[in-house]
Amino acid sequence: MADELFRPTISPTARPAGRRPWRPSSLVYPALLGGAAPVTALALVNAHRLGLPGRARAAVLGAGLAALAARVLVTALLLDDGTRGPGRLIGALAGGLAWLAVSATQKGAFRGYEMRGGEAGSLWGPGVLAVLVLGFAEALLVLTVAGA
Amino acid sequence: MTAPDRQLDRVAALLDLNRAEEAMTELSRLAGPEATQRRAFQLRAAALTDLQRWSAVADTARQGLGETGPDAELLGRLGLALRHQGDHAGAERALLDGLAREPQQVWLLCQYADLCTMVGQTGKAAQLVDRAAALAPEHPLVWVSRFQLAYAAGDDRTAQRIARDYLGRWPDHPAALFLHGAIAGERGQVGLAQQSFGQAVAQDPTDADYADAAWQSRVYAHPLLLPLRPLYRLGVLRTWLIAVGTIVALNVAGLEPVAALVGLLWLGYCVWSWVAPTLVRRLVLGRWRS
Repeated sequence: MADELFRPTISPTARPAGRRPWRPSSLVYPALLGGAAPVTALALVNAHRLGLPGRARAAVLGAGLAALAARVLVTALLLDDGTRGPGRLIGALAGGLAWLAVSATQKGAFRGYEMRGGEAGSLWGPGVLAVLVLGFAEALLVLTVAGA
Repeated sequence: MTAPDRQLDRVAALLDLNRAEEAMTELSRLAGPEATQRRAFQLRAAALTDLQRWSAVADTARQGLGETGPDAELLGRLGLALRHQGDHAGAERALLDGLAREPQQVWLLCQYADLCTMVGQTGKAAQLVDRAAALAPEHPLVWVSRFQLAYAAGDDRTAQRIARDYLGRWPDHPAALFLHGAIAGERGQVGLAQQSFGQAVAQDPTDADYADAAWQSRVYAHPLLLPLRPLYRLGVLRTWLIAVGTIVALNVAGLEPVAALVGLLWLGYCVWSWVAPTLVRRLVLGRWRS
């Protein structure tokens, strides 16, 4: 009887070449500085670059939306001003929670990429842009909901 | 024993001592039919593997297979070389051809497990490692493959436990010391990493990877980076939350000046964490070169 373990399972086109993924641990900075929205957006791009399945992307998106909703809810219920002092801490916490899901789903895939000789892409430009644009949009959303 | 046999034994002994360049010189002295016998190809491919000259490893293995017929070891070398050249499907074909000839070969099983780990087929890799472990539970390659599997899954705790157990079984093995140092570094245990890498280099001073890792760990153990150890140990997320939480708590308690001072110190710490590693790397590199 043929040994199942010795059947070829690696296809030549399994890993298409594309833009370099970012190190998942680096995504913690946009998460803490900008909140859940920037880290979720960047993580979805990273999931695509790492060739992760839809299940992993859905987990990142779900965690990001849940963290964002939690931030808005907690800020609206407990604080007057959503973007200063404790509001900022809640934002960083929400971003950190979203990042935990990112780390759980992308750390292994990134290490596999590194073991194949791949190098990490630079997060500086996209990270700063995401924090400025999406972090600002998130803060605006929190302020609007908290002020309503 | 004939003269060529003695010569090949000498090459094998040089490879055991990690003196691959000298082994290659010795192999180049072989003449006539001795140079094209199977063992010569196996040793040449092994020496080139140690030197990480993957294109030459693949060429030698292919030539050996062409001239001396199918051989599990040469197929394994070909698989290893193709893996390093990024041809994963080709590497799998070569390793499976080797395993078809010697299905109980621990080295081939571990090579195939590492390849599967690398392409994300961790379930299959785990089964292959289990099979290799059933044949030789304490074989260093089995420990390395187990470690790779846990590391690739992002399970650093398990990887560190495996590295510790591996080192317990093989206390002087440079690969065990290297993995022990690598995972300690990954988990922010800078002192432990430096110690392990230093011991790995002492055990095998010829390995460039060990030397490079030891140098990197020396950078992170530099006194100027001592203040950053809590950051490496706790990770960015926890450190950040502790710092921001402290600032917020001080503000809420009405201690605004103290909160401002802590905030200023935190800002300085952040800037130092970005600037200092590069600065120290340049400092150490400059001293090392002079």
